[in-house]
Amino acid sequence: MSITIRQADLALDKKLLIDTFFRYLTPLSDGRRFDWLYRHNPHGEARVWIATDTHKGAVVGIASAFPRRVCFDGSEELGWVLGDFCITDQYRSLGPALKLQRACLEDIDSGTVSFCIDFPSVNMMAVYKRLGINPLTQMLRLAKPLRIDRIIGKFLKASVITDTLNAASKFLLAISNRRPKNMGLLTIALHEGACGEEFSALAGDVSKQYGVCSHRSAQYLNWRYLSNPLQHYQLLTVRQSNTLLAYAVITHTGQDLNLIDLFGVKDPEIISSLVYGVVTLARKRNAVTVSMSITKSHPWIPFFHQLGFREREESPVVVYIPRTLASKCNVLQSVNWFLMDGDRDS
Amino acid sequence: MQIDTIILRIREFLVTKFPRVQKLNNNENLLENDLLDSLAILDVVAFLESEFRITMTDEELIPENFESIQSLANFVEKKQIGQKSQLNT
Repeated sequence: MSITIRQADLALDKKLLIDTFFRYLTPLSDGRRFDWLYRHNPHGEARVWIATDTHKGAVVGIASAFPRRVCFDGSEELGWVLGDFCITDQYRSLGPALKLQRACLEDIDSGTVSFCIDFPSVNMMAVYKRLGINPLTQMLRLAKPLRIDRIIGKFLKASVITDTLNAASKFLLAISNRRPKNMGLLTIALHEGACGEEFSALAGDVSKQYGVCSHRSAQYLNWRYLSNPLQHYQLLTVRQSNTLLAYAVITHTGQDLNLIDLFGVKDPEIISSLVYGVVTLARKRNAVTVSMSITKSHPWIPFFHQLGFREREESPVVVYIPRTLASKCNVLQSVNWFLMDGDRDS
Repeated sequence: MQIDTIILRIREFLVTKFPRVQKLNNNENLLENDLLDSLAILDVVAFLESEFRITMTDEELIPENFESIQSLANFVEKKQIGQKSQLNT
């Protein structure tokens, strides 16, 4: 078997890429997803590598990288978020995946970008392990139960008992969601329409307080969330005297409300109020849980614990820095990455 | 090392790690039966490298070498012969 890797041409290879993703990665792969994720990202077009079995002329696998601007130490760097990695069934023997991933990392080593981030699956972690790359940190899922009827229903059939237990549990869970003390001056509301320049201004003012984090300009937020053809997102904002202080990005999966992103002034009262607002909205919508994934080193995790969120499973985060950027390594290799679900593109 | 001994050792390792292998004969496909995923292959590679004192390159981590117990054993045997002749030259 001889496998060659080439860079894809997003225009010429569009159909091949969409079809391969549809077959091996996601049934959501179509032209709209492709144009949105691969062509319209305000941080730049995606880069794609295609592995081919030269004897058979068949596509063996694909790896993609989506540009992402991050802020750290008051400056900005361009990197990649890796994703849409797939290997066709008959080639899942590690070798082809290693070759594909090496091609991607070689491109980073050549200085194209300053870093790449990946949120690898268990199988993908095997590829990194073989490449000698360890996870930098972990994403931790936090969940706050709002109703336990889904759990009660699993064990009890009798509706009178389950109804009584549901009512009691709902009351107990509701009183655990205490309203923060100084919420009076804050206005929490769902954001209508596109994100304006105030979101870019907030990112400019606040990003340096957060270690390494994505550059959340209005243009980026509008693309990432409001123009997303795959999922419906909403923004909940906190304002004081009309000034934007923080926002949360939310979406629904079945009966669960997912907190995808949370960003703003680094003030525990403001963040607690915003999360309280998210939980209150989730209750109104009859959600079963509110959950979020966040880097384990995130400074707000203690607040989330106080607000009733419990720790669930962890998953690895890989950050790869080219050897040529040794001076930036210390910062970029620190565990101080502020990442949430919204930072992964696929 | 005789090919039969190599097969026996590989089979013992796989059965311990993945009990479903017990039901397969030496020529049945391990990849198509979903017995080996990427993580499992890493385990197999680590086992082959330490047990038979061989080194596997990325290029050798191809489906042909992992298809069955027989193909794993054939690969190990070929590799050992290759390493021996390299030592002799």
